[in-house]
Amino acid sequence: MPDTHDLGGIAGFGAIPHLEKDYEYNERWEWTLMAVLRLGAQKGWYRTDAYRHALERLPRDFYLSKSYYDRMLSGITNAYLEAGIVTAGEIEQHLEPHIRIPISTPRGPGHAGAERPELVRFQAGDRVTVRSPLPDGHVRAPAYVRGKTGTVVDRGRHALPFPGRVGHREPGAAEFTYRVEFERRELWADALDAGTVIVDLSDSYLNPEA
Amino acid sequence: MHFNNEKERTLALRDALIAKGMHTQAEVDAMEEGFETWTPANGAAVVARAWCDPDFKQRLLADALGTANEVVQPVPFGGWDALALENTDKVHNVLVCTLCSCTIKSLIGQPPHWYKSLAYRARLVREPRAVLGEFGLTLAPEVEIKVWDITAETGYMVIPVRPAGTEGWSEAELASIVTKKSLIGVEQPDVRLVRRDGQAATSDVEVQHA
Repeated sequence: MPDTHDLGGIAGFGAIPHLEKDYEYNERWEWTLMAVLRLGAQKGWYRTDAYRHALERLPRDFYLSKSYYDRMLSGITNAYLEAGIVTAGEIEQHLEPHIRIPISTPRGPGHAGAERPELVRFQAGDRVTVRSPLPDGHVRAPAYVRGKTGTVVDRGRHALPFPGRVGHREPGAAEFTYRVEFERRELWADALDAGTVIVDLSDSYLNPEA
Repeated sequence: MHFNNEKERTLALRDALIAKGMHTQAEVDAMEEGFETWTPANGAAVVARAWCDPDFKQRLLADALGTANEVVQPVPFGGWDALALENTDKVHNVLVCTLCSCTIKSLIGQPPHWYKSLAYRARLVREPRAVLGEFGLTLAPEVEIKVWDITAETGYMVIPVRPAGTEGWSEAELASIVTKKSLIGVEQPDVRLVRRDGQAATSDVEVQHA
């Protein structure tokens, strides 16, 4: 079973809800939450991948049943806790005694990329296969493309620290990402629609076509 | 354990960080005020210019964030990059983030509720025509649908097809029909929504409360 957050192609979610809700926020505290997230990242206390991973390893029932902001808040809180910036006790001093903060269990250690910093391995038009299986932990290659073969469209302009490392608060070598285009019916043979899906994947998730 | 206290826990996290001297209230306030400038009106102005100026459009396709700054001043978006994707009568691009809910907020605004829903994240990659149909968008069978899954630090904005009947419109009039939904690719701009020069803004492009 894919990790809870890895939802692409999973059945069972029904009609798209809240089609009319395009506005920027419901209540102002939602922006307070995003401000706190961005300030911590700007100050270098955690990387976006570490925040993402703190959110991803929330308990499955919690992830699937709580609001977007509750998931996000829990990920941010855990990112701050794990960076040692604030303690749960210090946060709870500002809450009514019956309110506790959810804590997600660290998972790890991280897994290395290929440690080929900024090497350009692929060009547009190359056929590539996504590695499968991929190690446990923080992975930014959705389950639905693992083991699948697609065509490189282009390369990201910036090399980025490998998510499998920095998502676990470990140093990671920078790698380029490649936008890889997959035929939808290669991903799901029974898909009603033809067409393609394009996914942006770190070098270490890819091999030359198998 | 009580987990339905998102507002209280958000403010407690903020207050604990401020009490400890990790952030100042001024820093949090400045960040929130910056979010006021992140609206889909930015992306709409960029699309309108692209519809009117082919050279601008070519630069936009090569470098969306840098080129957008010729028209609007979106707040720099961390280490992110952005690509503009042009819809045509043959190809329709539409965006999703299956692993979380990433967007280029400085051009599109905050991700809307439906974009953050588990159903949208799960279904769009696999059955885009059914999902677009729920938004009221029916594409001709020969139009290829490309779904872009935002999995690394590059986001996208869609340049919708310029609707028939907009010949001779000003850039402001053109921008007034470009919505957050059309920048994501789940609807086509509707010429009936036009706001003529000098008219007050509609709720579609304002920062709006619930």
